[in-house]
Amino acid sequence: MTASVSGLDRAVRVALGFWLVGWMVKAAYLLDLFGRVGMGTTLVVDGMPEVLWHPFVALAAYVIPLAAIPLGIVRGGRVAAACAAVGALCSLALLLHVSAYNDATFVTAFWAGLWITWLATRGDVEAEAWGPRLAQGLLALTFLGGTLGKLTPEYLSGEVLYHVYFLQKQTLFYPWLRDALDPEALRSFATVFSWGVIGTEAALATSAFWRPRIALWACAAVCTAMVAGSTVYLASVMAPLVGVCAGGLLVRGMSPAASMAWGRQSASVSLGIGRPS
Amino acid sequence: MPTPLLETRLFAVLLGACALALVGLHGTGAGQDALLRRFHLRPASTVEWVALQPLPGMYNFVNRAWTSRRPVAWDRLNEDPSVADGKYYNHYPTRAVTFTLARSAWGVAGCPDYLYAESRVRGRTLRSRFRLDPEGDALRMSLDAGEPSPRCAP
Repeated sequence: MTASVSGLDRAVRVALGFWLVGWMVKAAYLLDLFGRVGMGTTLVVDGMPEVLWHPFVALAAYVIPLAAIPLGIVRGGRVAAACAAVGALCSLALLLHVSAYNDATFVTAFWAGLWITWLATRGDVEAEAWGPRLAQGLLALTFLGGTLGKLTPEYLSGEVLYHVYFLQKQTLFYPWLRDALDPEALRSFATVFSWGVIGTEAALATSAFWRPRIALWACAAVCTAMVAGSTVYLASVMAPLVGVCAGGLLVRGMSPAASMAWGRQSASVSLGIGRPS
Repeated sequence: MPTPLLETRLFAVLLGACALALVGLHGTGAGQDALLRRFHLRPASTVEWVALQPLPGMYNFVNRAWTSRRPVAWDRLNEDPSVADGKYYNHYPTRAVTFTLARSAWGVAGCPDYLYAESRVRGRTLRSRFRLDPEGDALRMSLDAGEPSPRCAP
């Protein structure tokens, strides 16, 4: 195994590590929901096929990655690729299931799982050349989805976040803000906050076209800040994305040949490194 | 940059197609209606559900949900906070029932409970009233036509 291959392996393992953190952040709640609650009182939704409401599907799809992803982190290589694929499939099952469809955890875990699977099955040159770019595309897609759904008067006026965060949230600094500010000031603050969120997400929706290093660091910082400004449980959604950022940054500069490809396209052509070794 | 292999190209195409789909869906009335239906767990078909669910949509739209032990007129939900428990939701208002640990508390008196969900985006509104009927060890959630059961009429 060459140094560059172990560099790729390290990026895969780090991304899987973040993925697992996200999966486990709400483990107590989700195991209770899919296990005790789901098995005790099955939720049947008219119009949905049985496979999308059967309680065993949700429980199995949540539990399997708890074993598979640590195995992938420990073993690395092709085992990591297979385990990441299992994680992506289980995420897909859960984002379709009537007991879990609403949790964005499984959307980001699905996309991050796909990216890690792709990364873990690449050669060094392919991974280094395209890993960061695909990571940027994935992150931009996530923020694009967030931005477009907020382009409605009630978000632009701050009404939605005023209620969801400033009136309803019982954690962090939101109860304190309610006490410290009069209702009018709180409402104005919510409007500024809402514009800040929309502006930041809109900017990151274009990050697919930024320089990789800047884009990946910016996305990682914003994902982390969103957790800090909301609830620790949001880490379940953001950790897989931060893992993609970290993996993308780690595969950059991994091998001398691929580094040349990054810096000088003409050099990569003359060296004939179009396909991984 | 080296020429990407097929898997890399496919992944890039998938990401690009999803981005275009998001723009198309949010930019058209029919697309917005499909996204609103998705938030209310009532897609036009299973295929639509499978196609839309992987698309990121965190903190989209205006979403409110109310739960009540008996049928309530929509107007009263907005006018009188005492008739039902209501909240704003960041997305998927139906999660007021589907994602709670208190699932067994619905329909305990042998009569259905009700979930009201409302989502809005740029002037388009979707309202859904669901019945929550206990059926043995299960809780059935179904769109309600608005006819209260005679046995449980208020």
